[in-house]
Amino acid sequence: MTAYILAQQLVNGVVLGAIYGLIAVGYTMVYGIMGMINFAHSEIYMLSAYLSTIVLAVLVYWGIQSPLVLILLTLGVAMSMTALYGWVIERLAYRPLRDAPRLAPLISAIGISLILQSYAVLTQGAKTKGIPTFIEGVTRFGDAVNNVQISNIQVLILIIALCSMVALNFIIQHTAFGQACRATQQDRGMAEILGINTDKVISLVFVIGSAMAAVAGLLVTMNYGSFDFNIGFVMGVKAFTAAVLGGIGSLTGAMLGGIILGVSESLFAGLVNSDYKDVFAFSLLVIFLIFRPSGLLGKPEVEKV
Amino acid sequence: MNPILRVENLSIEFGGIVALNQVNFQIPRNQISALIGPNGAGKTTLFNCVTGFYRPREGKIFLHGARQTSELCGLLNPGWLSRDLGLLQSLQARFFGGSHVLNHLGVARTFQNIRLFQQMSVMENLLVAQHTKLKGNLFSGLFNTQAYVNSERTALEIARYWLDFFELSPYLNKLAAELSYGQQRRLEIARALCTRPQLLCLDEPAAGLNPQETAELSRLLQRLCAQSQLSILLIEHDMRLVMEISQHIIVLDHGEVIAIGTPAQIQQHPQVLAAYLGTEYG
Repeated sequence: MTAYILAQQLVNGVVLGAIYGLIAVGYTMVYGIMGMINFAHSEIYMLSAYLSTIVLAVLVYWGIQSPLVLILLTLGVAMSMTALYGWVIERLAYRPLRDAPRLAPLISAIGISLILQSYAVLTQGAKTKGIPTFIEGVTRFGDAVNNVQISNIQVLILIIALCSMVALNFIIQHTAFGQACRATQQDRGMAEILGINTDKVISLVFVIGSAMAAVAGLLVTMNYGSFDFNIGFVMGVKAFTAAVLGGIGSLTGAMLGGIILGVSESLFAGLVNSDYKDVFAFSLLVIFLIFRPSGLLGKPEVEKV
Repeated sequence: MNPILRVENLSIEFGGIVALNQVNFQIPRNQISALIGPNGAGKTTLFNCVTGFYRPREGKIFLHGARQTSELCGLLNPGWLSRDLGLLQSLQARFFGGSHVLNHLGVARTFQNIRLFQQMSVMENLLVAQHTKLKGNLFSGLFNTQAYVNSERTALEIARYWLDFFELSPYLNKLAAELSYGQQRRLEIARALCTRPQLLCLDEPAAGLNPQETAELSRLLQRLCAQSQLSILLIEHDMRLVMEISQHIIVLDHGEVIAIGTPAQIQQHPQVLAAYLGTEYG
C-alpha cells in the first residue's frame, strides 16, 4: 500500500518538478548574466496560461481537432508572445537601469510584476478560468485497489519538458550564441571589448527564459485545468527555490533543483501531510542555504577585486 | 611617419585631478611602441581612452585603419549616422552605447589583471572572440547555413593559427583556469588577436611573469610584429623588455608627455632620467 503511494507520488513529483525546472531556468539564466532576480518572470508564466487558453479556444473554434496539432500550435503562439513580453520588459524596465545600484532593477521587477498581474485582472477578470481536459487516458500499473496511475498528459508534460531542456542545453553549450552567452555571464565588460553585443545577448536570454515559462504555463494549464491571475506567485517562489537549490546561475542545476523540489514536496504531501508541503519545501531551502549556500551545482561566489 | 594611431590634445580629469593634460603623440604602423612612465602617470587612463572605456573631456583619437580613418572617441556617442559604423551600428551605439563597436574598427586590448573566460576551454575563449565575425544569427547557427559554416571554419583556422603561434596547441580543450599564469597571459594575447585587430594594446603583458616567461614573451611579440600587419602599443614596467622589443617609446609623467623617441634616445633623455629612469638606473 505505502509502496504504491510512494511510487505514485514519485511520478507526480517528477512531473511537478519538470515544470518547476522549466520556470527555474528563466530565473537562473537572468541571474547568471545580470546578477539580478527577475521577479516578473513568474507573471510571464501566468500570462502564458491565459495566452495558451485563448489560443486553444480560437484553434478549437476554427475546427482543429487533433490534440497534437493543437498543442504544437498553441505552444508556438504562446512562446512567441511571451518571448515578446520578455523582450519588452527587459527593454523598458531593466535596460535603463543597467548601471544603477543592484536594488533599482529589483524594485523595477516587482513593479512590473504588479503591473502584469493588474493587467491580467483588468483584461481577463479576477475569476478563476479553466479549460476542459482534451487529452484523456490513463495508464495503470497494478490492480484495481493498489495501483500507480500515469496519465497521458503527465507523459506529454515529461516529453515536452525534456525536449525543451535538451534543446536549451544544446543552444547554450554548443552554439555560437551560447558561447557568447556564457562569455557575457563570466565577464560582461570583456565580452563587450571582444565585440560581442552584450545588450543583444541579454535580450535573447530574456526571450529564451520567457519562452520556457510559456511552455510551463501551457503544461500546467493542461494538467490542472484551472488558473487565475495569482498563480504566478507561488509557482514563482517555488521555481526560484528550485533555482537556488540547484545552484543559481547553473542551467543543469535549475533542472535538477526543480526535480528534487517537486519529488520531495510530493513525497512529503503523500506520506506525511499535504497541508504542510509548502512549509516543507521552503524548510528544505533554508536547510540547503545553511549547509550549502551555493546550491548543488553552483560555484561559491568569489569576491571580485 | 605613417601612423596607425594619432592622439591630439587629449585631456581628461577625474574630480579635479588631471589624469591627462594635452597629450599629443602618434603610434607608427607595424612597429612595437611602448608607453612608459612612473606609477600614476596616466598610462592606463590613456589606454582606456583609446579603447573606449573613458570619454575624454577634450581631444581626439584617430585610428588610421587599412581602409578608413576613424575617430575613436566619437564612437561612444555617435550621431544618428556615423560614417565609420553604418546606420544599424550607429543607431545601436547611439541608443545603447557600447564599446563592442570599437572592436569592429580593429582595436583590441588586454588588461593588467587576466580577464579570460575562466570556465570556458582554451579553444572556446578564442572562438568567442570571433563571434561577431560569424555570418548570420542564432538561427543560421542552428540550421548551419553555408555562409555560417564557412565563416565558422575560418574562425577555427584562425584560432588554431594563434594557438600554434603562442604554443598553446596541446591545451586547446583545457579550461582556461587550468593553465599556468604564463600560459594564461599568452592565451589572452591570442584571444585579442582573434578579433583580427590592426592595433593591439597590451597593458603590462609581462606583469607577474618569471624571467624565462618574460624572455619568451619578448621573442613572441617580436615575431608577431615582424610576421603580421600589426601595430602594437604596450604599457610595461619591465624596462629590459621595453628597451629590447620596442622601436618607439612615449614617456608620460603626471599626465603629460615628457619624451618621445627611440629606446636609445629615451635612455639619454635628461627629463626621463630625472623623472623615472634616474631613480631606477641611478
